[in-house]
Amino acid sequence: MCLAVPAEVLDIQGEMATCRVDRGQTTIKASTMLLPEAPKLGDFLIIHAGFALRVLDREQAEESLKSLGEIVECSVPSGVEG
Amino acid sequence: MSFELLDRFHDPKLCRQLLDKLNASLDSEFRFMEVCGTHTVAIFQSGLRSLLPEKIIHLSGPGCPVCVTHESEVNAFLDLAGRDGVILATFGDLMRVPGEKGRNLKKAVADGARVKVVYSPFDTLKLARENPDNLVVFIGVGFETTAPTIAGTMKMAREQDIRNLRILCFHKTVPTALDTLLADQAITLDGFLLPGHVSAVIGVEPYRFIPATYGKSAVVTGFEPLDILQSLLKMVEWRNHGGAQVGNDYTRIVSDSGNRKAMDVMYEVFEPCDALWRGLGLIPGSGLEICDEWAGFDAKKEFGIVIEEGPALPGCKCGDILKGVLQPDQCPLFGKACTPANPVGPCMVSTEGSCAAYYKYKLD
Ligand code: SF4
Repeated sequence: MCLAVPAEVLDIQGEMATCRVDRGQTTIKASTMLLPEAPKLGDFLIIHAGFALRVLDREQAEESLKSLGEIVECSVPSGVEG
Repeated sequence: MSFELLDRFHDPKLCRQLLDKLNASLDSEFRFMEVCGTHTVAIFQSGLRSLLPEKIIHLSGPGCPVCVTHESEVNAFLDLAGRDGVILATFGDLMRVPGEKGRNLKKAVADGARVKVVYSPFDTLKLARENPDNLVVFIGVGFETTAPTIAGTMKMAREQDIRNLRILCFHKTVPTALDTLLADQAITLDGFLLPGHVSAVIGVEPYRFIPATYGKSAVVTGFEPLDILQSLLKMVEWRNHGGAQVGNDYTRIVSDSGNRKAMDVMYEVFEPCDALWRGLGLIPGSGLEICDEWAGFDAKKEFGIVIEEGPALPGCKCGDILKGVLQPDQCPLFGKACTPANPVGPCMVSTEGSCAAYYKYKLD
């Protein structure tokens, strides 16, 4: 039901995006009506049951990878206050 | 370019470093529960489960939507199958979920019921248009990830003046179930891996009660080994420093406030209600029902369906598995009377079910 990995937007017609899953030939269609903003070509979407739920935030992805690198170096990771 | 970016989330060298660090951080057992069926599969499929330190105890929680669908809800949709003028539409996972007396939707089809497997609730619009003389009833199971997709479909149906679509709404919401689990003294847990895509919709805020009320940690995380390891390490280190927190390690997808648009669409159509969960029983406010303004779509109203506590499946321990009280291989039927080819309970049917994941990956 839920694709664990984001799919890349290849084409957009109205509120329907055609996306590529992984690097393969498989494409799927997803409605973009639940997204706060229309996605762009090349964006990566999280798709669940035929609907896009989020656009992948590239900056945050880079940021996470950077902090992952730092975590293996340092001690207490930061969190959100409980 | 971005596929390379995503690949970096399963960098084996970094994984190994995180594993070493996790090992070094553990001074006692750490019991974690993952709350999402996709995490269950990811933990097994990536091989992570066999690599985790012995002191990390992995429990699967109530995060497989098919598995937590209550016995009475299963019987309710099985009762609808085969009714005159009804075409049931469903996600494929529900086809083999057993109800009372070994009934399931596959057998119902063999007996002449009209049941259509759909990939998206969106597909029911076409089905309804093509069958104007029938009622198309979609079985709505799932959490806050699925509920907005069904709400969106209902809005489209209204815009397109499709009047023969009904929704059998069995949606459930995750944070309330976690509250119930944590309040149960029989369940001992140190932390939760929170669901990535449910949280993409609801954000991080609804989980704040976990450290505040129960003193346990919880981290929203993604599905790559690095995501999972990072979140486990965080929770262990928080505990080592005497604290519990809520964290978000899936910021590339989840923002703290979630997806407001999806929540708005969901709550335009649904409102909270009490719900029965397999294994967990009745949890006040943990379900979604169709609100009055959209009552014309409500299959429960159309067919007078009332969901009440009923007998559990004989012999099946899914209830205890979903609470993390038992591991799948502790069920006496596991791998003997109950296999994926011949499932006794839903946890062995669903691709996201713990018993199915155990069977597929642990017995290899
Ligand atoms: S092994 Fe089968 S019978 Fe036992 S808990 Fe799992 S699904 Fe139920």
